[in-house]
Amino acid sequence: MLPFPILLRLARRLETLWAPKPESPTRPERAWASLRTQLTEAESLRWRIEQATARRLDCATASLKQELSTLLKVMGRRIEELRVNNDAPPPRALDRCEWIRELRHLEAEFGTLTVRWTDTVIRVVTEPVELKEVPLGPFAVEFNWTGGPSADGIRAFEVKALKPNRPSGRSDVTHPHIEDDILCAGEAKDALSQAVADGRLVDAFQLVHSVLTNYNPHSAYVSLNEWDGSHCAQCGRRIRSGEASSCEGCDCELCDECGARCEGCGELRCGDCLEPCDVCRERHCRACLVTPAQGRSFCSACLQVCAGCGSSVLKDELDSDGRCPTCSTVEETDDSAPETEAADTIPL
Amino acid sequence: MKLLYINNDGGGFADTIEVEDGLTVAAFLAERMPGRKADDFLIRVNRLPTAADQLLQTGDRISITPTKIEGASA
Repeated sequence: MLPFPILLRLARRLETLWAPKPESPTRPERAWASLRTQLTEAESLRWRIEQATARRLDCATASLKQELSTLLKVMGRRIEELRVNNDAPPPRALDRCEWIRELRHLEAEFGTLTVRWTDTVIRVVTEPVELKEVPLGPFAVEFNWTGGPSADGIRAFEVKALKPNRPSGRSDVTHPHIEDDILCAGEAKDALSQAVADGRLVDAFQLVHSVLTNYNPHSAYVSLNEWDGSHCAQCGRRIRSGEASSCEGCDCELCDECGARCEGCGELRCGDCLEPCDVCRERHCRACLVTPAQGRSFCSACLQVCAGCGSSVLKDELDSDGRCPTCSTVEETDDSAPETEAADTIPL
Repeated sequence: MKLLYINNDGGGFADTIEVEDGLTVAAFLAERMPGRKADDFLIRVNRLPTAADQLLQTGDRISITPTKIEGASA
């Protein structure tokens, strides 16, 4: 809680700044003086109209009537302005006690109130803000009291992210509706200006808070859909910060449901960086697949040694005895030769 | 009875108004902001949180601030 001496000092300062200025006497006096002059002129025109009518000067009469009509309209507007000015309630003056109540109320609503005298700033801190599952962290809302009631509403405020989560490529944006620490108040703009003018600082801070904790997708500096700047390269789903994996081949970002591991080396790859072995059909990265200029691609597991000649051959080309096609062909030829000799020796 | 009524919805309004005696906060809200839900507002009577059935007294200060306001991008 702000110590009472500081609270009192601040209340005095604000009381001085927000004290109603004595209304300049000249402005309404000028309006009254102008009305008196116009009334005199209207009386003169009325007398001239009577004279012109009596002398049957029809053209002059019509012209003077037109002139009087215009003057009466102007006088009517002036009288209305004076009526509004007369009926307007006097500005509500906040005394020191009221300012103390206002500041204590501000403390109660936001937990902690900080005063920076050199910067003429009153500061509160919000709770962490999260919009559409995008954490934005807590914000410090700072009100500069220098401008007093004439301060331009939202321009008297700066809203600073204390644990900024900025969108990719925009170091000036910390919230969909904050750029360079200035909140674009949108629908709250007029109410905020009025609250500052009236010295209702609690209302002003609460209005800022209501904008901070709400998201308008139709008018944002950066849409929350694009906040993290990363989407899964395979399915397009938005990936939260810290939850993305990346393909070890092309570095593209992957969500936790996409990507697969190379059957050879076990590295995580996206779909574009994995290809099937033409023999076993398991998916491998390009480093684990041999892709000859002609023939089929194969992985190391699919290359086996011929039991006959010892050469490396694709495993689906070996016969049941583990021999390569060449060795199988030679054996078949050898098997067929003895049968021919036996036929020659068979007696007639 | 007279109340200081502060409405921070729309353009903002703060003035003393005359209302009937025996009005509760809920009834006051229904009268002044028909069709609106109380949950959409921060309501304070004499700077304190209030219950819907709290009876308003003459001289009370009642403030109503929307909790959901759409910001913009300048």
